[in-house]
Amino acid sequence: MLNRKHTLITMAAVDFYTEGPAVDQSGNIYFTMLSGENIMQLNADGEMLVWGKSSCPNGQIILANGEHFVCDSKLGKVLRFSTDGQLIGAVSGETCAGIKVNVPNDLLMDDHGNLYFTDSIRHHGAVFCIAENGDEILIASGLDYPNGLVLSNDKKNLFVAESYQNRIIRIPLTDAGKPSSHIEVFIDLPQNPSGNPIGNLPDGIAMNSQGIMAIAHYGMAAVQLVSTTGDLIETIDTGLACTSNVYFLDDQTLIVTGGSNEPGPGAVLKIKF
Amino acid sequence: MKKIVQQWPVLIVLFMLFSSPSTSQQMPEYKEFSPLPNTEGMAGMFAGQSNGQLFCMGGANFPEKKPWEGGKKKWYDEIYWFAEDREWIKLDIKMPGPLAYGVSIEYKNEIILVGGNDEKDFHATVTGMKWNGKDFAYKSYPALPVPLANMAGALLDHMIIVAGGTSAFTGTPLNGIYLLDLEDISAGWVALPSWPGAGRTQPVAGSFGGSFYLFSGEMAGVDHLGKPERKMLQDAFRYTPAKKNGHWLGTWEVLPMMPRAATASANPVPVLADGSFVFWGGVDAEKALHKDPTTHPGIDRKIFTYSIHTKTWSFLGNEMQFEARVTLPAVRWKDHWLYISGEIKPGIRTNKIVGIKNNDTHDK
Repeated sequence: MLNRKHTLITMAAVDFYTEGPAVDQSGNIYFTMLSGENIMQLNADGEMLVWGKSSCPNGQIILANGEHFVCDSKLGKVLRFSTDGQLIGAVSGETCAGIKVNVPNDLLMDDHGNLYFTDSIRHHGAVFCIAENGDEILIASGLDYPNGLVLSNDKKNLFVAESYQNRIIRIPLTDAGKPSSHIEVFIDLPQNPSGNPIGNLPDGIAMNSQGIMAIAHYGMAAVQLVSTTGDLIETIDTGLACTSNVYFLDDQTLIVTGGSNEPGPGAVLKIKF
Repeated sequence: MKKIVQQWPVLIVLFMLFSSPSTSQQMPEYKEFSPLPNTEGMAGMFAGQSNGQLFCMGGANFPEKKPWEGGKKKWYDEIYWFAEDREWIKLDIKMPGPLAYGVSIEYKNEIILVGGNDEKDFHATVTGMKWNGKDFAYKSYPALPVPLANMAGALLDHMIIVAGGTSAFTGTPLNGIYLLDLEDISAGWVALPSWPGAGRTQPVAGSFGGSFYLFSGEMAGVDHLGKPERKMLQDAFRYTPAKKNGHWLGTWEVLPMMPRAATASANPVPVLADGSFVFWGGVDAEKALHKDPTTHPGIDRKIFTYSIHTKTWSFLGNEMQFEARVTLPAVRWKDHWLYISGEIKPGIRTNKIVGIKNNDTHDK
């Protein structure tokens, strides 16, 4: 285990637990508020704005054209927002690949416009893909609360946080949206000695250009850094008991969301390491 | 139309957004000093300087059996003198009585012992001790409004401020905060408005730049099964007192959450010249869950700092040469902050004295 110096800066302290960190091309930081029903923007002028509204906004990505896709965990859909925060419509329906979608939680889009998202329920959770051509594909099912997800830098592996198994799984992809049948455990994460079943839930994940994976470890008040070989490199204490998600600003800087409790209060941190 | 929900001071936020947070801060330089002659070591000692000499005194330990073996805690009235910067010598003279787990203050060549407890009672007494080269001259200060031990405290200019703690062995963690102006002793202790957080025992405190800082502590909580558990607090606060029309006022500011709890770490929290509070040791949430004292892994060795200027927390590394500790005083001695004895595992003390280099030119 390394123990690199790192610094934590509180970017925002808000009433609600936060999720869905994302950054646009201008450097504005966005995050969601779930029970707070807001999509927030922290802009370079030092203002925090309500950028968009949704029933329960969760994971969020910003597309190259500036639109946002946001998982609404209450509506059960992935929503699409215009560049100025107006709700345009839904990207996903009540079903995907013929299977009911319950709680969309987190999402990513590859370079070809294929959208992957998780459906977070216990024991029967799923990972879906809506391909660029509109095809709906079931990537994995029978997962115990699939949550954050990230593609490897070579795009050959999809990593998914399986929260209630306290682990990250690796799904090899033979092509975009085409999973191999063999799913592996990439890493089993440290456990919380409390024995609390929600004491160690991997949540959002991200990867930097060196292949280092950052894992928001809900209940552990930490971000775990993991090597390309699935070894734990470092545990970064965040002070946020409910650390929810991570976004790499650069290879050594993370935006971290979460809070001390749900539905709040929440915070957004910047961690430089 | 977007609603602006928060307008922060632009300069502060611009700094947050675009400056590279400093990770250049160096690990404190640790140095071992002579150990206490009591090889068992003590928890909850008092320490301070008087007339250019450094002393530590009191404290408690388990001299025979460990707590889980049925051992009995013993409180001490012994005084140790750091003779000629070389070794600690136990003086023949004693404290007025056995005492531990209070707050030590230095002011005008006097070591002031605030509160504390002994085997039977919690105390409200406040006693000054001034060294005359051979003996101590004792001075009684106004008693605390309530008996207190396991509280935090620090000197802020000419004011003693103590916060939290308990008033009895089975007492509820308190949210009281009291101020004694040493330039206006006749006014006695004044109750200040409490911080916007839970009552707590074994928080830690420090002062810098006209403000009093309160960090961490412990309160009673319940676990996911509804059973009682120790809840380690990670919140932090700054209080800036002001006196108007003869009344103490002031404002509390909630600071960024600590990365880890540091309950019962060294008090006062050592603060460096650059305005960084240094946290080494203390109980965090994970260690508080450890049930079996015989297999306790020891206090977490991580070193964190809090910069009052940038309002950032930094992790600097782990101190691997010396064991981290809890329930101890820190005291400034020349160019070091010294960590005086303390507890390295439940029921186990260390007699080691270690220091971190201060490079400090400011006055507390």
